[in-house]
Amino acid sequence: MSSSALRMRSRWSRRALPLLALIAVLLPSAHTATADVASDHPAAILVFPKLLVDTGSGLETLIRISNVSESPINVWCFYVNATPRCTVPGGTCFPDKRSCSAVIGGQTLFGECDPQWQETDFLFRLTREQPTGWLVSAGQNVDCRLIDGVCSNDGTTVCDRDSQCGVGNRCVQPACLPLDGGVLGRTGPGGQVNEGRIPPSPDDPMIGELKCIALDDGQKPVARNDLIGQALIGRLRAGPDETTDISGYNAIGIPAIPGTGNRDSTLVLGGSPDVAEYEGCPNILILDHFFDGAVDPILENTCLPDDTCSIDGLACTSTADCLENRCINDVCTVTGNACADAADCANTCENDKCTLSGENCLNDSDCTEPTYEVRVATDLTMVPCTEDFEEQRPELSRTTAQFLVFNEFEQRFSTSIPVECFKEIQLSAITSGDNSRSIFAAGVAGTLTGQTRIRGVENQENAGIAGNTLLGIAEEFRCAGAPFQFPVCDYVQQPERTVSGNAKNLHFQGRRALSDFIYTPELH
Amino acid sequence: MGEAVFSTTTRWRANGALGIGTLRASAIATHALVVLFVALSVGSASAESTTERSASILIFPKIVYDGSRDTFIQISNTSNSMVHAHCFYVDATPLCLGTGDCLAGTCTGRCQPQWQEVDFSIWLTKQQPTHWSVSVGRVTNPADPSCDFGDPQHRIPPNYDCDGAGLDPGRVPPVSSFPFQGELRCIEVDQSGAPISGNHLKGEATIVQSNGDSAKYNAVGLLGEPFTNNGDNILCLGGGVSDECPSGAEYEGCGQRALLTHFSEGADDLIFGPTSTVDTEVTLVPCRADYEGQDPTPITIQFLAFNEFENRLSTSTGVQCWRSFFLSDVGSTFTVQNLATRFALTTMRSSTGSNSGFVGVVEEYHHLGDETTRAAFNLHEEGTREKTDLIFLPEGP
Repeated sequence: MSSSALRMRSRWSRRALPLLALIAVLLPSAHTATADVASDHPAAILVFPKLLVDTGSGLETLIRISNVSESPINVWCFYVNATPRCTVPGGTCFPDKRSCSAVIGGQTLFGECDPQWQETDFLFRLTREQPTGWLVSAGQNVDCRLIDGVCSNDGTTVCDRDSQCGVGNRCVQPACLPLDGGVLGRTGPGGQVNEGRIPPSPDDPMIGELKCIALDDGQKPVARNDLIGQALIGRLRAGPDETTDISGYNAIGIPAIPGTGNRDSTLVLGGSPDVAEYEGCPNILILDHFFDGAVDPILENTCLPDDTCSIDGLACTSTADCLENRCINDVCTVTGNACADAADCANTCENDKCTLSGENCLNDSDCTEPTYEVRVATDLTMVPCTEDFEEQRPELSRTTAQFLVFNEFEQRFSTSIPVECFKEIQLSAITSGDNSRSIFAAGVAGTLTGQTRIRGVENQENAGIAGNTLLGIAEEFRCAGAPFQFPVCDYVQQPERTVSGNAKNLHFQGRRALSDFIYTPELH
Repeated sequence: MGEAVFSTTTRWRANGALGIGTLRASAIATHALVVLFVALSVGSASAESTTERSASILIFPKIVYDGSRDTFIQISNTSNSMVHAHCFYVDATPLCLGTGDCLAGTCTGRCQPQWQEVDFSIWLTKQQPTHWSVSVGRVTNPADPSCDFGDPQHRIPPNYDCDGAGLDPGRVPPVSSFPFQGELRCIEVDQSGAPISGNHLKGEATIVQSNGDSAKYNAVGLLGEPFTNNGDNILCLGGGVSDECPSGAEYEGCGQRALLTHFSEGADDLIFGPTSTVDTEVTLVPCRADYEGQDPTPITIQFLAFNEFENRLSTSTGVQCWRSFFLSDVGSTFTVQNLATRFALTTMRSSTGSNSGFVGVVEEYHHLGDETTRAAFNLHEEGTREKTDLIFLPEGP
């Protein structure tokens, strides 16, 4: 055996013993670790970070929750209404969160938008392996026998059974919990029944969060990791140019740790194993995203064989028609400004300013062509893990979200923003009023995509009452417009420019030494 | 407190990088370590596949490129050191033995199933994200123009069209056929190309329709076990010690069963009203893959569906290497006429006789009149398979 091999053996043996000792230490803790906070496994607490309702403009959220166990389960949910409230009666802060106005006595009064975090809680019971779903704007009851449906073929004929709608059609009921029990009612095969009522959203329009907690038969939080959930946010623009769009995400599940804690009205998430009743929220959220304003490398508005443009659906004879800023029905097809003729849709140089883009110019060639392109913008929604539904103390949830942004050159940027009970914001709006100058804007970051790490800053003053971790989702919107129009579209802002949206769950990394807490109101 | 990430800096190669004698000399300690770690991993068998944690194997179950769809891939290194990955496109597009296109239904001859892999390598610097669309891949061109804010005062226009800007991760080929359907799988490796359990990769796929609609899902990740990865060409997902897996599981195993809450096939979407309908397309791939012998893995999926009345229905279907199907293709079990409620909860598992677990994604198609819009979801999972699933990599140089 060579001397080098001997040295290696000796080193290896020396390393092995401490390693074995380390394993012996790690072994018990590894056995007690159960699961991470995740959106792809059943859990005892479900967090839906974003709900969006505005029935007036066709925006709606559908919630689906299933009990994946063979025993019934009680579910206690909290809508958190984070819709800013207008200081002027009758005014609304939706969609513009910055200011509001209302007409009172023939006079327009301008007000401010105050934040609000108002919870509304409700309880319902799911039987074994039972799925359910409801519209946030409508809720649902245990009343299927009492409500009428409409026929699926026309959507208007009132019915209460399929046979009333003709062959091949169905009688479609609003959402309801079907196992109503009683002498004439319906029960599950095991005699189980639904109970409870899911109320409609406290506001319409509303933006906010939904959090649901598994309860036992005595209506106490229980260590049963049996719930899964999904949210679908949809947009229906009715009328002759009817369009639909939908995006979905999985609810984030916080698993309970069986055999720990007392699960009283203060639920302890993570932290020391001596106190944790549920798994802790992640230390860092990771988001891969397009930088805002980046041109989508896949999508092109081309003229299809049926003489319509592939994305906006307008009539065309060639792809040039789909890219050109044409004046149709008094509106320019790309830039969206009013027009009387084609000249109004051209970006020309007048008095050293381009007419549509506002660029400085000496002649028309200095003005960017208003051609159609699809660009991407990302909305981020964050909610704190700690929430106080008993005392309504938003200061417990208050933290600073720190962002570390990496572009494809491995260059790092960073910024931060305060988060209280709920934060929904476009990435490029995080840093400044001018989105195009943000570090989240493609023109600043330099590359098409980036990776952003998000961390709620620990507030040691809150140790023992809050952990300041965050959860969230992201939505990616594709926006149509001219090259000089920075995309700020989503389902609420500039919805007419929104080509489509999709939603995704964020990635997680690490855990935190501090516990987070959910303070629930007394149920009894 | 950060996440504990283990990286194997000392690997055991099949040909004995440390030397046979050395291994023999440390046999007792090694054996004890292996036994302890196997016990540890079996005992704690808690982590299954993940769609939210950085992992060592990424599986993108659904990659499509056809006349109306393309898939945009995003992969990031979540660590502060350089990461290498070996990726495999698996082309599951049926081969038309004649003229025409099997997917479009225009093939004049027989459509023969095929599972053809094409592999390539990428490397990412610290925390680097990268991307490509599968239709064109990504070329290595340091001169790709960056996005630029421009200077409006000096008539320098901005540039927001910068696909390709950044440090190229290496040459990424386009998918090998048009149309294409199949999967993408990326395995973290070291500089020499040997698999490692770094758990540094995350990924997403966006399926973009030519009409602008898009649906996004997270890649399914399999976590590498910190100490048992021997770096050979047989990757052991879950399970215990065997001839192929002398040190036991090298990666977390696939889930025991998948859970899916969905609309009954043809049911109305509450958002879009009573005249709307919803279909659900499930894409499943076996966890086992043999890239060396091109031996497709057939599995049988057992379904249990529960409607809102708590009624239970069951059915099954076969998956060989890759399959994307609407629930209504499995039979009438999932139709709204059969399930009789709007929503259903379906569990899926590999049959007891199947040789592999599986992972997958779902895409919901919401129809209203001529309009169709889609949303993608990752499946929920429960439990970990007790059996080992193997991935056989091709022999390197």
